[in-house]
Amino acid sequence: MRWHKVRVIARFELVTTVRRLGYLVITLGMPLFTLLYASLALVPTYLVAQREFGEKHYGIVDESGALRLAAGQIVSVEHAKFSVYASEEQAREALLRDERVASYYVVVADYLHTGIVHGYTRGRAAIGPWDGRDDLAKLVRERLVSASLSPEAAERVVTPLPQRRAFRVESDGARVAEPREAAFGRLVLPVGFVFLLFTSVLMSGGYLLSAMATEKENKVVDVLLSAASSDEIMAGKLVGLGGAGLLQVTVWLLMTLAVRGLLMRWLLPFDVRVPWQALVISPVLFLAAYAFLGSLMLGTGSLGTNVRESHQLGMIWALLGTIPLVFLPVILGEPHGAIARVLTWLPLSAPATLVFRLSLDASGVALWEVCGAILLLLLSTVLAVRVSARLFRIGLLLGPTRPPLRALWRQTRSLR
Amino acid sequence: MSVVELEDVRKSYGDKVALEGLSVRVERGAVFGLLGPNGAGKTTALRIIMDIVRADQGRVLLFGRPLARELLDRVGYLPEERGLYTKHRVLDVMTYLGALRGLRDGEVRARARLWLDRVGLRDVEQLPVEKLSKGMSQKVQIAATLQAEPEICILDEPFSGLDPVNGALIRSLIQSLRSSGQTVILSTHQMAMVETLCDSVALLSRGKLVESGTMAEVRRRHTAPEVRVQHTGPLPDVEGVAARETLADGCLRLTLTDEASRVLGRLIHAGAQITRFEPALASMEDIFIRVVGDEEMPR
Repeated sequence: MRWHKVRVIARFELVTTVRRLGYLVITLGMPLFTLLYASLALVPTYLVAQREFGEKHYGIVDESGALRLAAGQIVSVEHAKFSVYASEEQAREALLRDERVASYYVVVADYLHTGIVHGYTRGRAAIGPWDGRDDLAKLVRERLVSASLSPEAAERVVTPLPQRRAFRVESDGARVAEPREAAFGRLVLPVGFVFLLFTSVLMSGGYLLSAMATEKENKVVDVLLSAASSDEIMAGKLVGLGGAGLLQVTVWLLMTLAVRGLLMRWLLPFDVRVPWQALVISPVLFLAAYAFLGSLMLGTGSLGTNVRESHQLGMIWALLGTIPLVFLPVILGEPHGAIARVLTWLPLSAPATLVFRLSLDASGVALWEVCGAILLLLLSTVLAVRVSARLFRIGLLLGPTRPPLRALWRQTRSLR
Repeated sequence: MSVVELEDVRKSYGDKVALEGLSVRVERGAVFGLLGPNGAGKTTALRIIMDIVRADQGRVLLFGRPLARELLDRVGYLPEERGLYTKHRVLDVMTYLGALRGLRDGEVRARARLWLDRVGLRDVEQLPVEKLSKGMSQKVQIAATLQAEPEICILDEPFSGLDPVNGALIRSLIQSLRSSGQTVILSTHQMAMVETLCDSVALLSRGKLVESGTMAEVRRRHTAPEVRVQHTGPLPDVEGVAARETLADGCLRLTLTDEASRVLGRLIHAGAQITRFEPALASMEDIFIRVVGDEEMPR
């Protein structure tokens, strides 16, 4: 590999891409678009929250007598008020008469035995009567236990865990208090890592495939291949267009940080704790994962006979790269369980899995496991780059029709 | 000394044989014509020399050494299937290709401008390539190929798409390359250019070498025993002349049965006033048609 050629190609690809109007529009416009989109998405959320936390009115009929409610009584539970009616007919009249009453409930005579409660709401209501089930459940609990327990015990039955405090026991036995949101704080790095990795791979992958298709279209392939080897061309493109992708993501991050006062406090209202092991290893994993996925995308994408087919072929790898996200609940639940350990050793899933595991509990990942997984990933990356360079060369020289897979395999093997 | 040598090179694409045991040598400083009809294997041979495709069998030597990437930096290549980055400015494309060919950052721009000047396109350096005419684009490609001043210049169909004026410009460029000691491998269908420019040729047909040698050798081999005679007054009949034919320009073509020098002696002895007496060499076009025609005829 002649690195000066790689440097020339990388610089050309980077400068060409960042000068493009489309690139500038996406780079500078994406945060604004995201902000606009988020604002639009927040409107219904706000409206629902208003409805959720505003005071609601319900009717209730206690045919069982177990709740010891007297007709005409009004009982308050957090954000809800329950008007007690003597019969279902009276409750129904109140529902039809008074718009403020959202629903009414009938606790049937043998409720203690069967648990049956009927819910009623207006015919035109979009949401059924059980929208207020949490408030009703709390009311039922309160009324059932208040007769037989002290007020404090009754309160604990209704709200058993009002204040949770967390501690971590370190390997030396020391107990360290942990804020309630620390678990979220530990996820900031891995989630950010996966986001950055896949955004970079997707953006750069798109640029890689487009650049290659342009060269095929403009018939500059022979000129390029006569001046540099396919390995050098591919490496140059990976570096240059990867740089363009990374630059884009960096600009987005910087723009987000620039409005930190406005957004960060809202997005991250808790402590961000990142173990140093995860911090140190992330850049290495990021670069290896990018080279691994990027080269595979470029290699297979180059076999496409047109831009669309190239994108379809190349993007298969981007999709496969999201495997750790599919297993995310399992990794979060058991960061050192069998599945997490297996995913650590698979090159496609290793980067994200390792960062997740180290961020969640660095003490549970052995050094040999980290080194072994990284070594395997690097070896796989070297292999992927080599195989992809061969495919890339075949792809570049490909005519308007693609030879069958068997012939492609033979060509791949015959190249030096 | 040979700067390019192909020994028994074979190449197939699936069932189609593109080259069948091709062996040729190109001498340093020569203009070498690689000729043949469409599909004869010329471009495949050139792509093998440039390591774009690899031979199935055989040996390729560059500057006396086995083909290696480092050696290719000393070779410029204008491919038959060629193009440029259409959205880029001419100067940017030239500098990129120059840098890829090993020109240093400090000199690459100046060299690009010099060569644009040489092909008469200095004033378009800031234009995007897509704004150029086909001929202009062709000249930019040639300038891009030659700007690094490679020791060997491989030009595959450099005259295609050029008008006579630009064709003459490229011809004079090739002549200046030869004057400066650079080797040129030229693939073209324009036989007049071959006669003017080439020192030696190889003629391919169906992937096989069917004729090769210096221009003089090849033309002599395919020339019938004929002379072209310009004279004043009557031309007497002498021994050794089987037939005579008057050509359009007033000259005579004599078909000989004896050596030309002897016939000339007899004519002068018989009192003929001869102002010109030269062998009627076959043209490259005739040779091409004759040789390739024989090979390409269905059997």
